[in-house]
Amino acid sequence: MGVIDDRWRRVELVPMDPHCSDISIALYRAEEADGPVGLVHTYSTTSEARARVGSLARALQVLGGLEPVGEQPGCVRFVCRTWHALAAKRLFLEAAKHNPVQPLEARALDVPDTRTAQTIRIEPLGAGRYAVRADGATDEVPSRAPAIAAALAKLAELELAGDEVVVFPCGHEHDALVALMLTRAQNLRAVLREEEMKASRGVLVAPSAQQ
Amino acid sequence: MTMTETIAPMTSRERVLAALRRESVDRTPVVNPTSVATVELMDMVDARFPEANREPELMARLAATGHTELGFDSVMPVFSIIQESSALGCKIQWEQKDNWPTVKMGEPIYETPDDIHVPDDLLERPDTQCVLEAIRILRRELGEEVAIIGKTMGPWSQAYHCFGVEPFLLLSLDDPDETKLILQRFKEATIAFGQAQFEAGADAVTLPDHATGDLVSGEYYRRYLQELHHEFAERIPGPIILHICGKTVDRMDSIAQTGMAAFHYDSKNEPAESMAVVDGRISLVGNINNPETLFAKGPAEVKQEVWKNLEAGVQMVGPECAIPLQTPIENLRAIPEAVREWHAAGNRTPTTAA
Repeated sequence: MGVIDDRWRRVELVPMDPHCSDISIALYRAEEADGPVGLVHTYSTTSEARARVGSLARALQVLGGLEPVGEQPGCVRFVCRTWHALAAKRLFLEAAKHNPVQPLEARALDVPDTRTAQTIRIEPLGAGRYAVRADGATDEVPSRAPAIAAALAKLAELELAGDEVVVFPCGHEHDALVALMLTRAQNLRAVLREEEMKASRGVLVAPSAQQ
Repeated sequence: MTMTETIAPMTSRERVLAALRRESVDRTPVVNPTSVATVELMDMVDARFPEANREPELMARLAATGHTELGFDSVMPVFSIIQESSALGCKIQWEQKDNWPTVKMGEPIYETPDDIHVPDDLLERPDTQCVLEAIRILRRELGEEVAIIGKTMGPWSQAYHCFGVEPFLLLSLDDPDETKLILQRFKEATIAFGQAQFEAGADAVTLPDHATGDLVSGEYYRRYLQELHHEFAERIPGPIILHICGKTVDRMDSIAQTGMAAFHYDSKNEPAESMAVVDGRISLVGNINNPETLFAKGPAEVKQEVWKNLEAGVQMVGPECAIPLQTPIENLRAIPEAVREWHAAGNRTPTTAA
């Protein structure tokens, strides 16, 4: 595949895809007449690369609730026809981690908390609003809901409406996306650390700065 | 030549060579004295790290993308800074496709100047041979169209690799004579590898010598390196592009006196101030920021930095150093686009005629 045309801007890159011969594969974004669209693209010319574009685009649809656009393989968009920049980056990275030979299904809106015995539950309130609930909170172990809501807001650039409600600025439902982010929101620090390590890899430093 | 004279369209190679001599050019050349390899370019031509650092055909194929895919006026096959160190016997971590090979500087191979042994067959060793063969392939494949830039590491950088950064820097504080002895003993390797690359077909060589702005002062540069760099300019038979990272404006006057063709300068230095300091005695090349702009921003911001350099009259523009391997291709392509747009708007630098 050659250089894609000038209107596309790279959103996120996986430099070595463990599920496809370590090819690099990326999500690009362009502004179209009816709103922003994303494109899964690789410069790899291997025979399996084209199939991987398709499987990754499918993963974005299932895990993030994106919809396909036109006939171009790998082209997707948010159903709200806006663009959630941080959420798109993180969705792409999570989708790339999914092993294509495993079943692909949207994540649940409730998960056991990794730090307490509570169950974290997301309750859709309509118009892009989601309440975060923590079942099983006690006087001794206070609700994790505010912390999870704050982490969701940070991970996906959501607005906070009170301590336990997050809001997509577009005002549309994004159930699959918020469910996907929920699993990562439980350990925000690990997400940020992973991103920091990713950003520093492949950067050549002068010998004086090397370990 | 006056500003009103017209210059016939030049090939990329002619443009780069003229800019290295500070002669008139038809437009400002886009030059990469260091690597512009990315993981996406590696996939595009199926030439990946680490193999593309060790196999000449892959090295040449990946380097060619700098011209064929990015539209630069030069190609530069020596992506890493460890080829000679590997040939000297340093332990190398070759890494994977998405990371740079590095010298294991925690396991230095020398402790005293007497340990230094530059082998007679340095240029026949696999990792130096790879570079020489890649240059020959590029010259054969690209003909006279594109400037081919090689790389030979300076003695200060070699000392870091072979002695370790901290021991060598401490030595430079404690024992200037021994430090100078070390640099003298490494210099023949720098010269020999540079000469061999010109014989293989290189048009210029980059000479990184990491007396970087953060660790080494301008006064140190004058004490330890200026004379050596002058000697390199005299003995290496072709244009040399000195590369030192960091804020180096405090030593640019000294660098400008070495006789080297160009200085590859970092974005920590202001283009206009740097041009004023070197005052036409050496060409400048660079200084598009890597980590913040090329890696993390978009074509619009890249173009702003290119234009800032053009407005200052910088002779050649390009990235400030080896670019991060995940740099977006569209940002790299924005550099030659910005140059063309700037000239198409009727702008001129002192060396670009109408």
